[in-house]
Amino acid sequence: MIFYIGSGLLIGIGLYGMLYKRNLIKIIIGLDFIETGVNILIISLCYVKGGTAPIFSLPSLKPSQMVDPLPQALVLTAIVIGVAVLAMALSIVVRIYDKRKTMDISKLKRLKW
Amino acid sequence: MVSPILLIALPLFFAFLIPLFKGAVKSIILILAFLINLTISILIFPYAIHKAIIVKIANFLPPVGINLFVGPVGITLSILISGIGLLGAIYLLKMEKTPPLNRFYALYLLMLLGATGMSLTGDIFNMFVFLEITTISAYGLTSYSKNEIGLEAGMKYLLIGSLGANLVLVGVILLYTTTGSLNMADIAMRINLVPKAVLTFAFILFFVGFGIEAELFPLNGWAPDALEGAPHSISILLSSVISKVGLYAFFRFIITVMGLTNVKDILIWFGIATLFIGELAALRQKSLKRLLAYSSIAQLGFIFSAISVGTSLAVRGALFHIVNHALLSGMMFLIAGSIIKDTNNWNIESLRGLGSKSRTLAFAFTIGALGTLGFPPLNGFWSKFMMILGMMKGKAIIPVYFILFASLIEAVYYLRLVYIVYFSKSEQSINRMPFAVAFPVIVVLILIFLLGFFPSLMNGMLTGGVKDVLNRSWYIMSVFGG
Repeated sequence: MIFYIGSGLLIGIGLYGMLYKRNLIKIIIGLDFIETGVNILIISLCYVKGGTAPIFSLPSLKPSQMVDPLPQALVLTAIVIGVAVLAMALSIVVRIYDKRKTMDISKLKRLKW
Repeated sequence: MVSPILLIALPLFFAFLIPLFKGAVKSIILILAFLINLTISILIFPYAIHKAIIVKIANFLPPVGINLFVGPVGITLSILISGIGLLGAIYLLKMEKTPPLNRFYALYLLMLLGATGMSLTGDIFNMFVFLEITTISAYGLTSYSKNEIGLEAGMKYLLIGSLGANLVLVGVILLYTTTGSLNMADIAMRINLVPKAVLTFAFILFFVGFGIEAELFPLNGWAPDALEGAPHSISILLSSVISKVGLYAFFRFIITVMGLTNVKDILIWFGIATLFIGELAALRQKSLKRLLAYSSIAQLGFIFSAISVGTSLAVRGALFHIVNHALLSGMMFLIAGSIIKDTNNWNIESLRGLGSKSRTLAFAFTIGALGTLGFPPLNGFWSKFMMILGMMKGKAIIPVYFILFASLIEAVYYLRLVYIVYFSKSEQSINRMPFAVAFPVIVVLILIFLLGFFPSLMNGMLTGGVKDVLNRSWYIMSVFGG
């Protein structure tokens, strides 16, 4: 249960950061919080207390003690994707700072409806 | 028969080959990659429209392994992606000169590879991965030109897009924990196991996640910016194929995987809102590319509401309009890009005197405008006619009123553009049209007239496509039965 609360909190903090902060770097940190929260949520949904790796050749191991390995593989992929997004975001911020000398998102409003 | 897996594997190979080369070789590789993909798609097409081809990767059988589902809609999207990708690659030769070009080409291939993957995959986690490949490349390409508009649009797109992708991931994992499978057909079979509340929550997550890609109304704040700020060749692709793929992924999840039919009424109104607000916003735009962007969003809303109605005629028209709009809006953006580059003026005033300077471009622009309006006998007429008739058969009368009223607004601003093209004089000089611009425009023009005069050419694909979109048991049978 503590994992669900923790991941929910992380996602909530991340959303707060993305919606209310004005600094681009802080917004990206918020995005990263959301990614981490989602990853923890995925792992904890398939977590078994006291469980272990699913090795079917061990006769003493019951199926109820096995942790589902698939979500962990998914999280590995999701982490790699998260790193790529983060790198992309930071490089765009560097370019924006070069051009505008500001990282305040409320000053970037050339594009409006 | 060639294996459809090559449609994904070969572009991946070429994408990482391109950065090794300099000079003209990289352009040749790019064009070659799309030519190969187009040939393979066309070779597979006659088989796939009758009976979906299931590719079992590494020969693991479907519920366990990942499979590709090459159905009528998937293969049509793949032909569109590689065809427009090829025309865009030819267009790139003249239009994009900012170094480092080899990385630009690699990202270009990766984006279209991701889109092909999204339209062919049969696995929900795979869908997420391809979505991320597409969008991450698209962020890079949007901010490629390093001007302020591009960077700002890229940042906006990145923040909204990756938030949406994370929501899709949560939705995927919710479906996995409740049904114990990642295979679309397998989940479709066991969707009754999912509690009602979880299903509703997953629906909202997918709605937001894919709605961002499909440029739906409350979620499309990034779209006009990205379509305006991206390099001209990328605007073509974002408006004509990437958004269609997002639409396809959304309906694949909602109709096939989750089998939701009771959300129809809500979805129709979201489509209508997208259409209506898109048209209203287009009416007051001064920038040419931004006007085309809003018009493109509006057409997507129309397609969205037609598929939501769910009568077979409406879906038939919507699938036809997906093809038509990809051609029409691709051509409009292509012409707009070349005019903006020549006159260095982003305003719609840059169209002044086009009619006397370049007859071909002016003619093509007019055909594009009239086709989007649905002027007979151009291709847009047939698809819009089918969609409206289908919506009336589906007892969605009030939405049809809104659509017809929105078409009126559309007529106002498109005919104004046509007026500017032909009847206002200016001293600006437009250079001779290079081959890289003329060739794609003429190819698309021929296709538009072909589909306009012989709409029955599409019959086989449309009949298969309606089955593919609406018939869940057919989908499940094709994966497990054959």
